[in-house]
Amino acid sequence: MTTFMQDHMDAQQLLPWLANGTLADPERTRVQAHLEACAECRAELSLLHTLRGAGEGGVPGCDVDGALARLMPQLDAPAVLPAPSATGNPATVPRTWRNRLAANDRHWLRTGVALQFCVIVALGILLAKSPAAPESRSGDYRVLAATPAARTGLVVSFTPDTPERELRRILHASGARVVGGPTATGVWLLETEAAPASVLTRLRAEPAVTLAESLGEGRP
Amino acid sequence: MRTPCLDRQPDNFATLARTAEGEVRLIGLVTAGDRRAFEALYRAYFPRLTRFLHRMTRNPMLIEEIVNDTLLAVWRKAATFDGSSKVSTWVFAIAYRRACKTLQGFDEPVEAHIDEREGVDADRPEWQFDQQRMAQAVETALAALPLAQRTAFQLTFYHDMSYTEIAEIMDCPVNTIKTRLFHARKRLAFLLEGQLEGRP
Repeated sequence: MTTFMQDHMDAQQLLPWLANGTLADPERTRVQAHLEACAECRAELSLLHTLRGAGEGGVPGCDVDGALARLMPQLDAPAVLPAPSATGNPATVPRTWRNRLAANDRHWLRTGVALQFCVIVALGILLAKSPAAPESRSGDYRVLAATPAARTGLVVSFTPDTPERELRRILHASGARVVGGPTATGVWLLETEAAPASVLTRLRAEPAVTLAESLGEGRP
Repeated sequence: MRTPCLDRQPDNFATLARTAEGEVRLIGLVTAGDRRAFEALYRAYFPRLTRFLHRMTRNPMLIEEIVNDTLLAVWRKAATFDGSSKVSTWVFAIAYRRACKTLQGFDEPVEAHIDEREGVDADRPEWQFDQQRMAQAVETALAALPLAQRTAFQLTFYHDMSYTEIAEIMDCPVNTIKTRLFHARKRLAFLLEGQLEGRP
């Protein structure tokens, strides 16, 4: 590409700013030097002057005093909230809405994090105040690993002809459960968390029971 | 929070608003909360901004709202003006951003796509020799340009801004501004073909 063509292309791009007087050196000197040798660029510059002179455009019917009067009261409004629409045009409402709900809105986020912190603290306090030994209350759910209440060991024996169904009924009604046996002598080992005296009373009332004795309080 | 001002007469504030250096002083006073200085700045920029925005929307109330939105931002952010650019560049950049955002929110026709229009030749303004008709023809042709080209053209020819200032206002590289203006001129030459011949 020749130097003239390069200068021509540069000048073509820079002519608008030569026309408005803002082109600075060294570009201005270079473009002006090119203009002396280029009729096309001189014609283009003339055209730009024409456009510049002709196209100021209409002036909108705006009222500076009215607009300023609407703005002045907003100067003291906090900058956090966008100023309300002076025209009352509803189209501004959803835009403000979306902006305030945006996840990157620092003010919204700050409030959200503060609330979250308060909820965590409240839950922590509730947790700290919860009962230490829930199994001590009757009817509470107790897991297998929970600390057992005190149990009493019992021994019981039945008449040899007691059917298995009758044996189950007697044990169920007594409130004790089998933990061992029968031994070689036909004795069953029982365990109960209820009062041993009442369990023994119920067992001894059964005709099929030949022996019912307490072994004393066992493991807790 | 107000700084002492040597002379608070409105006329003096208005005088300050006539030069770039004076505008910087006004911004300093606005930073300190001086409402008289702000009013002077407001009155100086109102006609310039309304004229600028008039090419983006013809709704006067909307133009006033964007101007107020812009100058409210100037009031609140005056302390952030660091003097690295002219006050006018800073203010116009705010106005341009606010206008683009507002007009998108309103579904305003901010950009005319001439290629999508039928009968381009039929839209060409008729040849008129008087200045008023010529101005109308240029106005019509400018309205047919895409917003980015129209804005670059307008800031160059009707607000006398340098390409670096326009690049800053429109937040794009200088070469993009030069290219936009080059295409804008070619488009205008096409639209005004025959009407500019022989004119001074």
